[in-house]
Order: sequence, then C-alpha cells, then structure tokens
Amino acid sequence: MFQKAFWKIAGSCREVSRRALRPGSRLVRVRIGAGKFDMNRRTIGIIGAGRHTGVTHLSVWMGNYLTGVRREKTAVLEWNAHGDFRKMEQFCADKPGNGLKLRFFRILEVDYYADAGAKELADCMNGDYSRILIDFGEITGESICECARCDRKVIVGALSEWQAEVFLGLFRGEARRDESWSYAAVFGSEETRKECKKAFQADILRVPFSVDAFAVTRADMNFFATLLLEQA
Amino acid sequence: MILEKGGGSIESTTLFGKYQLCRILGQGKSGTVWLAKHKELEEYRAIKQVPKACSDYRQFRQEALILKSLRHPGIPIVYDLEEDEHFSYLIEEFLEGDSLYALVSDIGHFSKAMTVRYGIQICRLVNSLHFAKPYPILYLDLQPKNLLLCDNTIKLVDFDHAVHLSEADRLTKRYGTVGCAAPEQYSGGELDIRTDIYAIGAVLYYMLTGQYPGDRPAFPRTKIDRRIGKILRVCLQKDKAKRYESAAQLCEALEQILSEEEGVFRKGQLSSLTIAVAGTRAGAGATHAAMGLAAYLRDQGLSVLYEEKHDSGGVRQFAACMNAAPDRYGIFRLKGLPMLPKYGQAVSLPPHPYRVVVQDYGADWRAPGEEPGDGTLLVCAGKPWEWETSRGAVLSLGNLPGLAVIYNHFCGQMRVRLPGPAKETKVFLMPYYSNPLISTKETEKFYGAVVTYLLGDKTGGKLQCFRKRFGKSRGAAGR
Repeated sequence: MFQKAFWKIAGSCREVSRRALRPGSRLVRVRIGAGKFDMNRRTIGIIGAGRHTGVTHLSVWMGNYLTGVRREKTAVLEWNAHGDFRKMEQFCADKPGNGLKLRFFRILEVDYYADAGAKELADCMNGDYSRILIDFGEITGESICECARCDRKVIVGALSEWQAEVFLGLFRGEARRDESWSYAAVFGSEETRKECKKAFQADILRVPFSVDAFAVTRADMNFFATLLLEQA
Repeated sequence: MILEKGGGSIESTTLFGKYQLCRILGQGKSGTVWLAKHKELEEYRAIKQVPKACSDYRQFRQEALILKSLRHPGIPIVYDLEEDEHFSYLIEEFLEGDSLYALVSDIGHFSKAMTVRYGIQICRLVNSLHFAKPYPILYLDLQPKNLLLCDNTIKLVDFDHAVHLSEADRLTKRYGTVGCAAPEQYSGGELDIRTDIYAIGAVLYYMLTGQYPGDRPAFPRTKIDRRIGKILRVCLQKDKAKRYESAAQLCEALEQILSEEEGVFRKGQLSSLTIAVAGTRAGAGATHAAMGLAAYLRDQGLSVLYEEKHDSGGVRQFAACMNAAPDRYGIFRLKGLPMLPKYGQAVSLPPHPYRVVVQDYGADWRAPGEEPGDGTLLVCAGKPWEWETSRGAVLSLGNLPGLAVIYNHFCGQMRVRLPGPAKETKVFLMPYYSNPLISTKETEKFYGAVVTYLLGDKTGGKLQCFRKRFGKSRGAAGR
C-alpha cells in the first residue's frame, strides 16, 4: 500500500527528472508538484534502532525546528502503532482534530497526523507542506525499506552497552549507505561513539540533551543544521 | 594533542577533558584560533593554539601575560593557559562580532557619525593600555581586523605584538600591518604612545574611506568631513612630535565633534526607539523602506536592529545568500546591519540587547495599531489607481500617535489628497534608491526628515524646524 502510494507521488518526480536527462528527450527538468518545494529534502524519515531511542522526541523536536526556525510548513506523521500522538493531542493540541473533518492536530504551528498511513502521506504531499517528517518508530524489516524511500533518513540509536547491539548491527554486513542517511545517538559514552566511527566510518551525531521537544535554542539550531546537512 | 584534519573529526575532539572544539575561527602565521564549548559550563571560549616549535612562542607567552594583567570591557578575558606535547593553548573569552574590516568591506565605508562614535571607543581602549598599571602597554598592531564590533562595543583582540612600554625599544624584530603601521615602525625609530596614535588615525581613515591612508593620504571632502580631516591630518603626521600627545587628547577632539552634532541623535538624547513600518499591500515597499530607515539610523551611529515581523522569510533568504550564521540572539548581521528574522513560537532565544528597533510588518498594516511603538510609517502604493486602498489604510490608522505616511512610486506631477479625518497626517514621498542598505545623500535627507518628524512628534518642538528645512524638498513633500 505504502510502496504504491509513495512511488506514485514521490518516485514519479525522480522518474520524470531521469527521463529528462536522457539524450534526445524532449522533457526539460519537469517535476510533478515540485513547484515551490525542494523535492530533494521534502520527506524526512526518522527511525529508531531499537525501542526507546527517542525517535518520537526527535521527530517532534525537528518539526518545531523546521517550523520555528526555518519557517517551513511542516507535517509530522506517526507511522507506527505506538499511539503517542493521540496522547499528545489530548494533552496539548492548539487545534484538536475532531476525527471527522480534520485528521491532524496542531501544536505551535506544526501539524501532527496520528496513526498515519499511505493516504495521509499522499494528502500531505499533495498539500502545501514544505517538509514532511515521518516517525517510523523502531526498525522492522518493512519500516526500514519504507524509510529508505524518504529524501532524507535519520537512524536514531542508543550507544549504551545494553542497547548498542541493535545500532551497531546496522553497520555490520550492510552495503554502505549514501549521504542521505544520517545517524544520531542520544545515550551512550563518547568512547563508544568514537570507536563506532573508527570501525564503521560512520559519523554518529550526538543528539543534544533536550528536556522539552517544543523548545528550540540557538545551540539546537546548529545540531539540526548539521543533521539535515543544511545551513545554520 | 594533534588535531585530525577535516571538519568531521573536530566535533569529537575534546581538549583537556572540558573544551569541545566546534570550528576554526581564524588562522594566522602564529597559530590557529578555535571556537570551543566548555562542556560543564556550556559556554563558548576562543582557544588560541600555537605550536611549541613556532618561533613566535615567546610572543605567545608575552600575549598571555599582558592580557592577564588587563581588565577592560573592550579586552577579552584570559581564562587559562595550557600546554601539551606539541602546542600551547591560550583560553580566552569568545567575542561574537564582526571585525571593522569585515563591516567596512560590506558597506564600503562608515558614515561620519559611526566613525566618530567608534573612534571615541577605540581611543578610550588604547588609552587604557597606555596607562595600564603597573606597566603601560603599547599595542603596536592596531588595524581594522583586530577591532571587533560586539553589540555596538568595540573590542580589541590579538595582542601578539603588544609590549610593555619600557621594552618597546628593545625589540629585535618589529611587526605591523602595512597601511596602519607608523613610519617609525619601518625606520627603526623610537616607539612610544604616539606610534599607536598614528594607527588610530589610519583606522579612522579606513573607516571613512574604505582605504588605508598610504604615504600621502588624500582627504576628499565627499567622504571626509572638514573637522575630522583636520584631526586625521594630526594623527597621520610622519613626524610623531606633531601628532596628538595621547589617545585621551585625540578622544577629546572626537568628542568635540560629537557635542557639536545637531538634532535628535546628539549624544544621550535618544535612549530607545521603536518604529514600525507597514505597507498597504505586498510589494508596496515596506521592507525596502524599513531596511533603508534602519541603515540610516545605523549611519547616525546608533545600534539599530531590523526586526522582521512577517512571514516572507526575506532575512533568511538574504542570510543564505550571504552564507551568514545567526548569533546567540538569532540575529544575522548582513551588510553591516543586524537583522532578526521572524522565529516561531517554539524557538527560545535570549532577548536581544538593541534599544533602537525598526520593525517590518510587511503588508500587515493593521498590526502596528495593535502594539504601537514610538512611531509608525505606513508605506502606500503611489499609483493613482491604488490611492483608494491607501486612503482606507490611512483612515484606519489615523488615530495612531506618531503616524507618518510614505508614498512610494508616486507619479511626480500629481498631488496627494488625504480624506478629511486624516488631513493632519504627515505625508512623505519616497525617493527612488536601488540599495536600501547603502545610504546616499538623498536617502539621508529623506529619512532625516521622516525621523525628525517622528521624534519631533514624541519630544515636541521639532516639527516647525522640520517644516522649514524639508517641507519643500524633493524627497519629502508636504500635503
């Protein structure tokens, strides 16, 4: 379901661009629905190497960064079964969805879609969002493939001794991922992070300590700019 | 510790277990200056790293010892001196600002008012070195790159070549910056306080003209005011006996110019000011006018902030174009003007220190009425087919104290007629100027008239004077 919807909307843009580059092609850089958006960085998938690695916290926080600092209209989709967004809606939504008319709720100018799926993603991509963040929850065989289809991918893990195995397992025996993939870790020692870097040539960014996912400070701006490979 | 090359590895390097390196701030012949974060205190520090093998190591220690003995708001604090096998490290206060060199490069040259105000600060700073207790200090390398402007305060960095006055003539090697160094630094003559006076003159000359004075400095009337020219001639004398005796004496001469200044910008008269600018429609020219006004106030020597209050994202685009990063207040300094973009509610930044603020509301002309400041400029589209819309906006804001109306792209042969209730509102015609960040004589005249009107309205008694001087000028037309 997701694959079809995603390919139809996001993939077709790349397909058209590829065709435009073929010799003799009459198409010149046509991008479907790309009008005012940067299609190379519109969808950002965030996925966790294990449970309780802070994927939802990072998704909400990044949503607030993109809206608050970059002033880009942002949607955050909960593409997992944890039900955290529903709890968040009850607790602090500015504009709660009524289940019939609105399928999203709004907090500090960010739109959140609980229990989202292919339809919500398709709607968001057809809408006027500049950025679409997808909280995939923890890695499963299916979710990592879905995450791979996003323009930018962030794998969040923990480097604590009892959690590191899942994270490090990702680097073993896998083909080297391209630069659209980023790695981030909240917990764990600095030594483990350095060792990982040496062993796997993978730059794992340290996620700064954040108590409140709805507050972005000047130091946080630097972190997100590095994570998303953008200008601060 | 030997640091790995490449941006990626810097982030994971921690010095002495507490300073996490962030990026390179500068590199020179004697070493590298790093920006580092103190991990426990979460504060930034500038760390100067000098190789022990470097022949300038003695100077490095000298710099640390001199800085250690100084306490002045314009001089960075030294926190520590460390070393490892290969390097010595000087851990200093991190100063966030632009060098005068960068600022002048951005805008071509400073105005007279800016030069005088910053010149006074430089003189006070240098004078404090010359009379430092117990050992007076000569700086000997005063140049625009070593002077930083941080929150409108001049700071002096890089004490590489500073020496105690008593040791000045024992120097075996002499350093200086071509263009700023006094003739006696080249000729091997005796060095004293007046050597630094020459350099102050060269820096002031650079600020006013964007060029170093050279051997035979020219004093074009278009850039250098007669009174400042007179002061600079004294500073830049080849014979040091003819220069000012001390930085304090030079400071007095500059203060004399400041005290003779007329109008609302005279020293101490303007403590805070908030002016809102809004347009009657998108594209009416509100942002252009707001930036022009901010640039005018900057050129009057005020520490002014341009604040974006609408969602066009103009400041961000400008910053991306200039490859600029925000400071700790989230403010970008673009073309010598501090600009605060609009941030969302989730962003938590410390309140900015600026007391003179120009707020740009874009096309949201109703917003200034909700939070009235000291004055409001309503920028109206000047074509006759847009007058009706403009009149509606003027009538709606008519009761707002300190309202001035600016017509942009106005048809020269026509005459503005505001409806009855808005008859008392002052109307200006905006002249055409392509770059709002660079002041011209015409924009100075125009914004001078606007600001005098607004402040006159606030302080009383200025309006008559304004009408006499600018009422019939091209840039500012009466109703």
